[in-house]
Amino acid sequence: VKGYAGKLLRFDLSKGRAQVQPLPEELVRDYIGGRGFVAKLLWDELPSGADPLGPENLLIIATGPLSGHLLPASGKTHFGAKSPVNGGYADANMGGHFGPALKYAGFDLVILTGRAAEPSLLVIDDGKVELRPAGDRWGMGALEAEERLKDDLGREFELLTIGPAGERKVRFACLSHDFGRQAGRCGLGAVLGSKNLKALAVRGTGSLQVHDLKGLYAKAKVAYAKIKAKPGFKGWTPEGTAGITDWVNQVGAFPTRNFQTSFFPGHRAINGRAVVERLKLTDKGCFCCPTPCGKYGHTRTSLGEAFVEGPEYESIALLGGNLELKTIEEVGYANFLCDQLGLDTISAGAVASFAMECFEKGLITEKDLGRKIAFGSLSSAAFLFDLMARREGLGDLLAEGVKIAAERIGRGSAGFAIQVKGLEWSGYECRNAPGMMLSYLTADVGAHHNRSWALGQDVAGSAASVHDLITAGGKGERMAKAKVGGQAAKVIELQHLRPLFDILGICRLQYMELGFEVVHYEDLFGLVTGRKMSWEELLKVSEKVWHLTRAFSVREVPGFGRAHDLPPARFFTEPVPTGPNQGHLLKRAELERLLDEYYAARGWDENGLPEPKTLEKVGLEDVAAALESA
Amino acid sequence: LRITLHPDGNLRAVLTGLPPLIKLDLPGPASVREVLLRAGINPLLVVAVIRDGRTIDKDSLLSDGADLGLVGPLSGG
Repeated sequence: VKGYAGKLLRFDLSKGRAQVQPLPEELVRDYIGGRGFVAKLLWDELPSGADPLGPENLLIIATGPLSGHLLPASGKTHFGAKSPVNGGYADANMGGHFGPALKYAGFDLVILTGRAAEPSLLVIDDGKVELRPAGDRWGMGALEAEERLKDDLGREFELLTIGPAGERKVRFACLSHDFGRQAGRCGLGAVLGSKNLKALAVRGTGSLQVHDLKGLYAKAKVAYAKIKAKPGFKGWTPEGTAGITDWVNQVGAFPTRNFQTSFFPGHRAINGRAVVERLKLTDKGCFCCPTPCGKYGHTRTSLGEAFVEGPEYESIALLGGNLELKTIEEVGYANFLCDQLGLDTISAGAVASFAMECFEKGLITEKDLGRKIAFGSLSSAAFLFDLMARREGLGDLLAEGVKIAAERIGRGSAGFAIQVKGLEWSGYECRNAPGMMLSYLTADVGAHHNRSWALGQDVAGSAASVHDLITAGGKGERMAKAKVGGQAAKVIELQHLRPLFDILGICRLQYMELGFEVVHYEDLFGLVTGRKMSWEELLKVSEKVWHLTRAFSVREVPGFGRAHDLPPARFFTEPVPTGPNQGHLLKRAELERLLDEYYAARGWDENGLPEPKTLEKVGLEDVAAALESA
Repeated sequence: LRITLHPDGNLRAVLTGLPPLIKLDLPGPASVREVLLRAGINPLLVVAVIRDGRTIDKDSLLSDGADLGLVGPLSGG
């Protein structure tokens, strides 16, 4: 099949040995690429019961068939491993230029196993692969290490680095690339750190074959023109994802003060316009991107100044509203600290806000920390990030994430440890958003928004009717209580659609944010690979992968099931205290009903385990048999 | 006052049945918010309004012939 580099690189870090294999044809045929490769390889090759931070865990780097080709936004790379957060399925996705470079070096896939004897750097220079000592880079910030390694190797190398958090196996350490792009979620930086690997460097100078080069160029040209003609192109691109900050506040879904409420009165000081007017120096895009959402800028605060990419929306939500930082400069600086330390900004913000609430409630004290901490304080946030990344003092516990920290701290703290499956909740508060709530509860990796984002549908369901608005003179700031029930079908549709982009190796934002029609992706896939697959057929692959990742967690996590799909008590016991959704919450019985509907629609049993006949129907007969015999 | 609206794919995804092009004739003056209500669109569902390549406030007053792009709910990354 065209479009792929055609090779798989296995590297055993314990032995320092590389093995290059042809990319298996059946893997390409049945799982296509990216997330599909990750899910299948983890199921097939990970020794059941492996320690996520032990040498037997796999760290898989997977590109997709569209990665690295000259078509819109084809710079995506997918990563996966057994989750250090919860022991189940984990993956993360990253933009930039790493995946294209890997394909030009000859590899679609890299599987890392074992553990290097000393802090190391893996260099992939076209077909040549070499493990080098990197003790002199150990301890460096992720951004600094990238800069130094580019100095050492050459600016044309693409780098993947970890910071001190990854070295110390912090469970929300990220993988860092291109001075501000991250595969942020699920603690995959900790997996790289557990393998004693500070960085990977890739230089690729080869080329890729495509099925119909002339047709692809013509189609790609049309695709760029169509994207730039979309109504949202000029409205969305200048601010990037930060541009929705005001709207999320207007609809009462903005994480504020450790998700105590869903509206931040100071949101206009940290919105997309503030990013552009107060921080931004230049736009920064990924490989072949027509809509550069990265905003590279400079920030200056009482703690220091720094160059930083972003902050994008999720970082604004979790570092801004959730920590109550007051200015975009402070949010930008907190973002920089997380990037340098190698912390996922979403989880780091959530863990810091959890610690601040624990401090307010007297569950952790000045004696525990050596100082006071408070919401709204950049120095408190900076102190906590450093403590966590270096696992010093109480930071060693916080570095385990909010779920484990709450289990040890006790005294009711689990109720406001905002997570699902141990993964900290990203940037949307859901006490009046049942579709978005269900999206978070059932996302395979934990509380992450990128599998399904149903907030728009929720708002359409609970916002005032146009008739009522006209009657009330256009005023309609308060949201009605959302109707609960009927959300499962839309969530499932989105859970197949959005991850499909992670299978293809392409950014979803042009479709999701600008409405670039999916028929173009179907055409581009055919022109690159020569395979004729309709969008519906591609979605079937994504559906199969969804069942497979669930089955993986069932196999690997003792007692996995419905109890892992519930939110913390805050969301079903505490009504939202302020803002457009004041007074609303989803009752426990309503959450259970959402799950009942979802499991039934999925073909899973009442405990959330895939039924054998469901797995067989999507072509996972071997998985069904393995789960039945376990 | 003749106004043309171009709802994007995200807006049409949450307001099913909304056409990709809407033309309205109404007595002026009118704000964006009023025009949206006349078109049967809750202004809360419009994240951004684009005129001549720039975002404008929903309280902006419109002139005859205004051509507006409407950006619906979209996720933050």
